[in-house]
Amino acid sequence: MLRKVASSYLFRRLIKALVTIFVMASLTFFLIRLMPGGPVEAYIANLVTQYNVSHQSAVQQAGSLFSLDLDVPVYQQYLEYLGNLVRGDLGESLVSRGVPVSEIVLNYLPWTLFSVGTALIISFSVGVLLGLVMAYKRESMLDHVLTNLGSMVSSIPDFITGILIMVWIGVQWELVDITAMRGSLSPGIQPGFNLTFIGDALYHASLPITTYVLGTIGLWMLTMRGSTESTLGEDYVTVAKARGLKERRIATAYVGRNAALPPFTQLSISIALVFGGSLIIEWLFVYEGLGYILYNSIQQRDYPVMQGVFLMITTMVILANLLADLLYSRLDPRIRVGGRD
Amino acid sequence: MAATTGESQYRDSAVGRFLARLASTLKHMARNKVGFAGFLLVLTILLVSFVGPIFVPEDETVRVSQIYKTPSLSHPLGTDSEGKDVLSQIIHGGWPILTIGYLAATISTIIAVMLGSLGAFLGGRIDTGFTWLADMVLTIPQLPLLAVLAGVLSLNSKFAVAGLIGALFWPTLMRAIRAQVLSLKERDYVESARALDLGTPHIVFREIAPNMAGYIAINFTLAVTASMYAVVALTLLGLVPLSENNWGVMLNLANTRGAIFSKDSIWYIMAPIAAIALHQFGLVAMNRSLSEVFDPRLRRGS
Amino acid sequence: MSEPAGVTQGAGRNEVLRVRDLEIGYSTDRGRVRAVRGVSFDLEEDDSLAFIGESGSGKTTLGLSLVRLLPQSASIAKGEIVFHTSSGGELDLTDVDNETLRRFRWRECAMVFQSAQNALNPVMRIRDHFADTARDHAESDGVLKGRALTERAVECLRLVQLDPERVLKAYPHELSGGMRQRVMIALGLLLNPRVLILDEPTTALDVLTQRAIIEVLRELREGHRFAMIFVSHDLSLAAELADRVATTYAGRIVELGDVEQVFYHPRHPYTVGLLDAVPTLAGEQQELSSIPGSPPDLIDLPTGCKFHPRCPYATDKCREEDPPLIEVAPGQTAACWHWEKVGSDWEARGGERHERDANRA
Repeated sequence: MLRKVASSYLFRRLIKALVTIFVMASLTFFLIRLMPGGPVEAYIANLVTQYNVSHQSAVQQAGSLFSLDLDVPVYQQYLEYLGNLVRGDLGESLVSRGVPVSEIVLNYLPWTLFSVGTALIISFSVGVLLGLVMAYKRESMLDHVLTNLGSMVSSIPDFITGILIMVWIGVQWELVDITAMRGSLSPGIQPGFNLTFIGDALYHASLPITTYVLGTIGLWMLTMRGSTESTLGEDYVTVAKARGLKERRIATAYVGRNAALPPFTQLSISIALVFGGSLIIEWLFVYEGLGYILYNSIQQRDYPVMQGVFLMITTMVILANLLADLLYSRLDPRIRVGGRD
Repeated sequence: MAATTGESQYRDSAVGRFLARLASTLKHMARNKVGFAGFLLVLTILLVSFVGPIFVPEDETVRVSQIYKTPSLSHPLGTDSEGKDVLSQIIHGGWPILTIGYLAATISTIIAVMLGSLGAFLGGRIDTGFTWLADMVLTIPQLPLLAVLAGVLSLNSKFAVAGLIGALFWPTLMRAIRAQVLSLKERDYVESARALDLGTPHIVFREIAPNMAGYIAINFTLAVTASMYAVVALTLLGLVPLSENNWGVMLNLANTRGAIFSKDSIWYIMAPIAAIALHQFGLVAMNRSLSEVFDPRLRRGS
Repeated sequence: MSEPAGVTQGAGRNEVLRVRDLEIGYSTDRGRVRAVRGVSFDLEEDDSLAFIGESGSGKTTLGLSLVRLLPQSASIAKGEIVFHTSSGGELDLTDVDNETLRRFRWRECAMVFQSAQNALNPVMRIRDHFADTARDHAESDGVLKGRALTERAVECLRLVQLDPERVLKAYPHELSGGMRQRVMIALGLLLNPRVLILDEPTTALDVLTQRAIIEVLRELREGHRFAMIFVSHDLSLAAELADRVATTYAGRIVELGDVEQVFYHPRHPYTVGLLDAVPTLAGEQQELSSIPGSPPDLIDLPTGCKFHPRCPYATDKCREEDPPLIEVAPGQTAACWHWEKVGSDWEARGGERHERDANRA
């Protein structure tokens, strides 16, 4: 029984995910702590030279801020660091004194999750649907237009698309008020499970979401189109016709369901791209999510926050990938290890 | 005696095959109009960016009265927030970005080819190890990592930036190369090379590599697309303090100086965007046509 | 229109299918491939007819045309395919609209393709396949669903000797090739079609599974009132399961008759060749003969009788005139000018043959 669980697909993916997070956390530790001229040393040096703090005291301050005990040997610091990490202690912000990094991260996390999550869902569903239609209407005008459009729009870097939206739709044609759309929530709106809140959140997230969607939808369209074309040639589609099934049922349950599987496997690439892109997109639209905070912390050299946010973004990507894998295993019965449901 | 003669014949045939293939590739590319157009587009942009600055002087004069002017004969692309000519900025602003982009792509491709082909060829633990490494690097969101490293390390050398980008963007390429090598590994001429006991480096570089040339070209163009994305993003964010004005810096200034919110500055904004976008389009078109040339299944007609 | 010779005048019994002068071609780069060149036959309610021939003889094309599942490049040049539906109507399948065709398929005539390896939707369970089929044919008999559907599905699966409990909730990849083939047959029986067409039902299966499928089909034959059409290159299949056999060559039927007539008293050189090529498992080693040469190019056919380049009996007449199906015995026809000589040669070897049969028994 244990063997079965251990060899199961999902278990292996989980292990891989944890290892990656571990490696990333270690990497950030070494980068921040150990690099000559790195942040910790620079901070201490700064305190000593600029603020005339004693070395001892400076080390202590740095230690508490970075959540490290700088008196003990490095490997011990490393273990303490990992221990703290597991307990959720990411240190304190250098810029906003006294504010724990974990608090900052948790404040901004939901907004990024909301915008990125919504964008990925919309992009995938619409993209796959369009791809299916394009394959059914091969070589038609619609197909040619959509193929070229999709390919072109997706090859433009997403932040450029963002700038174009701001410049043309916002400024030149004045279709939307981009200044009002800044921030993740309008002032005065309280978070709650009501329409006003959700509507407002969507309003503010609409430009980032649109940008993400435009940047990724081309991939889904083209992949799905190719995948559908080859699925249409499969035996079970011909047999479905021979069975006198309705065209609509064949298109959705026989062709669509199967053709959507290969694009789904590409989801992981998209997830990483969109989460990563949040750095620049949120900065562009002044949308207060993780990417926005990451940028600010880099500018301000707020290392603990940088570290914490980066780790959180990486963790989110890994979890999202895991989720996608889980979903995929539900969608494709052939890869469920263990057979019996 | 017989052995060396056999060896040199072998060498000639591998090189000869490579050159013949190169010639036919170019011929095929010329047939695909879209791809060829893309190729010309990219070539034009490269020429203008690297050779242009020699002929067109950089416009340093500040003309306060001519801020954000629309295009005219003297300023075909208008002027910026200080009255400087936009066209000359475009011409001069390409090479820093393009250099980093192509350099990073080269580094990525080299790493990808080496790890991919060696891993696929040697198999076993080495292969698994390389694949694991690739998966791990792939899971990390690349732009944030680049941004963090750029911020922490304060890079101001083009080589450093290119190296950083190149070191992160190789996994997808490596996977593709590896898949290709795995399939080529089973082919006849590799079997015979093995039978003749010609050694791993010879087999990898003389037998497999020439057949991979097309595939590497496709992946290289993809790498350039990705690297350009990263470079422009980093300069736009202001995380790479390069001394020269370049397309990315122009966009950064547009944002920080509020040009985005002004109606008059449209030319200043669109010019670098057009340059970057056109370059990307050209690469993507080239890539598609190259894919058609090297993957016969995608060919239309013929 | 006078009936061509050899076509069973079975209008008295319940005729299900009537095909007359069917001609089908494919357009290719090289020219038009004449895959079926004038085929006529009748099929009655519980008739079982086997089409036996090499690849390229047009038998698969013929099968596909009966459910109008020919690929885009194919077209029916002339002829008629008249089907008598279970509701009593007559359907000319060469001239029918899409919706009628859809309802006709599977409900009236089900075609089971060769190698069901990929015939089932990989992401759906078997029971959902039955449900889909029933749902989309609801207008024909009222909706078959819920318990009634399950009972019927179970019944069909039992008919093909599969365990319904296990199979219904399984996914296709969880079943073996032979099981999948049987599932397809069970699905085919779900709506009680009048005709079941089987295209190479045992090819690509191992010998034991073949045996199992043949047993299943044989039992089905005995218990049920539907007609079967087999398309195969395997003579032994015809021997086991068919009432009548039609050997096909180069797009035409070259011999048609009861299975005993064709097997024991063949009158066409091609049929003789096919019979000679089958070795016996028991008995002493005899000389195997294969028919020399290869099937003709269907774009550029030879003149006269299409078999003449490979035929030991060929004469000038054969090279000039393509023989029609000639009645050689009551209920048996063969398309050969020299059928009498073929017959007498065959009977002369009869002594050897009876000995072999005796050894086989």
